[in-house]
Amino acid sequence: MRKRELLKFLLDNSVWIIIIVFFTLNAFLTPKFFTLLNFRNILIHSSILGIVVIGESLCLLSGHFDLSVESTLALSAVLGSMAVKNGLAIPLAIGVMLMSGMLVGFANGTLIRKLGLNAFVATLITYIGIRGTALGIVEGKTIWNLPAAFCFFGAGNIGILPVQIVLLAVLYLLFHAVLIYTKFGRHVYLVGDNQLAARISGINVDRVVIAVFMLSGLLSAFAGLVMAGRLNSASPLFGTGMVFEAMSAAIIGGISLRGGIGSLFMALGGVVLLSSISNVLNLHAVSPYWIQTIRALMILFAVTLDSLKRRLVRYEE
Amino acid sequence: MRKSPLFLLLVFAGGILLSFSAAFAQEKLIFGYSAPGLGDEGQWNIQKGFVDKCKELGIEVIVTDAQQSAEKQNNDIETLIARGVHAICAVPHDSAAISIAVQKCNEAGIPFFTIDRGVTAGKVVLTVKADNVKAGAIAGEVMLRLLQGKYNGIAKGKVLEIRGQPGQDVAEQRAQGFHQVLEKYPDIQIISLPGYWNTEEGFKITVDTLTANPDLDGIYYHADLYIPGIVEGVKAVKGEFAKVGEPGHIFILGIDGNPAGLDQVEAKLADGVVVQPLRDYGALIVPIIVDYLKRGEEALPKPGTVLVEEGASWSPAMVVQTAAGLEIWTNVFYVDYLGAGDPNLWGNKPRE
Repeated sequence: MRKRELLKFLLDNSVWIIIIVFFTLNAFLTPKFFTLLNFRNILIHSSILGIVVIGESLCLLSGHFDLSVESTLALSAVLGSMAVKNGLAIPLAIGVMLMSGMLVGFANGTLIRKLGLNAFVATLITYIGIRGTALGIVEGKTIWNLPAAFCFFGAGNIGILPVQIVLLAVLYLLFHAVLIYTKFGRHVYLVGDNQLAARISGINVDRVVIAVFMLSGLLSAFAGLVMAGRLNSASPLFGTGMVFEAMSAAIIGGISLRGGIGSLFMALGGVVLLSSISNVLNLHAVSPYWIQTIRALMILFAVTLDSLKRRLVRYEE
Repeated sequence: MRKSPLFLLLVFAGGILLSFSAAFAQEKLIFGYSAPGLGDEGQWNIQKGFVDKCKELGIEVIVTDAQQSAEKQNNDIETLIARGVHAICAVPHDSAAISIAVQKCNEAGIPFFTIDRGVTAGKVVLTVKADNVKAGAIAGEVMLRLLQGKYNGIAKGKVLEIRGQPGQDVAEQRAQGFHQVLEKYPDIQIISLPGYWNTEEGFKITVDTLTANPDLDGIYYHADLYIPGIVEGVKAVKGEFAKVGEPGHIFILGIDGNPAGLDQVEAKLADGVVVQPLRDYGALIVPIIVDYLKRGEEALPKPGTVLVEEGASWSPAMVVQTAAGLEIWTNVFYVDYLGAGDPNLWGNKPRE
């Protein structure tokens, strides 16, 4: 019985075990990897993707895709930067950014629940349209040199800790708590697990799904604020290709594509693992022509470990 | 209802007559311009230069935007063919994928030109682009001088190269020129990493490389869009950013000359930038297209000649016959903070 419990614990935390293996290996193989400065770097690199992954995970847990996250991020960054550059007070500009994200999320949720569109199609529409809007607003211009206060969320420090890392920790704890301890969180899992059953048991599925997408939009928009601050600039091309990484991180972390299964803590593991892999490749200065192949092999290695462990557990049972 | 052959013949003849009369009545030329994606400063400006020159010469232009999709660009070009434009000019998003559309264009008898990049198959009358190998070589030479200045004349040091998309010709040529110059000096170590034309990736590479190599001397970037990421990356690792001329400064230079890039050079965040005359490609190619439509092949400049025009930023330009076809390689030049404010640079021209 105790053995079973241990195995279950290992399985539930498989990403983190892979991370420990990965870190131990690289402590010996990669110079400068096992240093405080580098751990800080990895967490900084994880922060923006990590925030987007919270939103994406909420959608996946409820049984939906959200392709529009990266476009929402770009729109928010561009809107906010334009606003502060044109003299709008920073809190108001941030308000505009967050509102824009929630609006995109609301549109996604409404298209899916009220118009009956497939989530993939609905968010594909916003994925294209919202990046297009960001492009249109600035006509491809890069905005840069933003006020320091505006950049606080991306580049500021609280004591010795970068704000980005604090945000990552706080947001994951917060949303983890929301998912585990609130009625809303349980509803998200139920809707993702079996929509029909959820409806029969009296859950307002429309409301849950729309709320999930609004949260996803809100978080993506917030990630846009962090990125604009981090890079002290905003471009409509921000976050290009990020949705792919966000989905991978969530799935590597064990969140099921079919909904209802997985936890945020594991998704965070997926984010940290992907960031660490990129970090190691950069530290080694791998040939630019082979870096993608090696990255793919490392991800393959990680997920193979995971599936081996699952098989082992099944065998034990 | 069956239509008689005579009726069909009449319709056919009428159609031919109509199109002839339309061609004669309407002397005005129509050009198609297919942009790969107007999302970045560079592409926006290439397009703007083309459209402005056409307007100046009284030519109508239809601009399409492929939004970074090779497939959409093919569709765009087919639409332009269907629209019956007199000539098409494109900046290929993907040199190979666009070839299908180029061949259709050849079949339709519409002359096809490109700017900035060539195509893999199909006949292109002429390509105008910046000499990217030369741009990379200039950057290499400036970096060499800066390193020699730092180490009392000795050519040594460690340089990070943030590339574009590996495999894409522009990125490859910018790398090639830079390496050609610096590889002659064995004590200069170049760390090359791909940034995929992505600012955030540039930030991560800067942070990671500076962590692994705290003694890094310089950073060479393939495009201006990396500068904000580089500056913030240096800040994130070193805690502060030493501007040009300040102690502890890391040399930063690269290629493009976009408005943001020039601003950053002027603000002494970067040492300098190799400028490409993006805004003036149109001024160079549009008159050649017009002339080609009138006189055919003989209107084209001869390979081996050098085109010169007083005061034009593309001048002098070399005419080169490459495996891909006839190309004009425009001038590129280096500006540092003293020259970055020059109002004649395309990056300093107003957008409208």
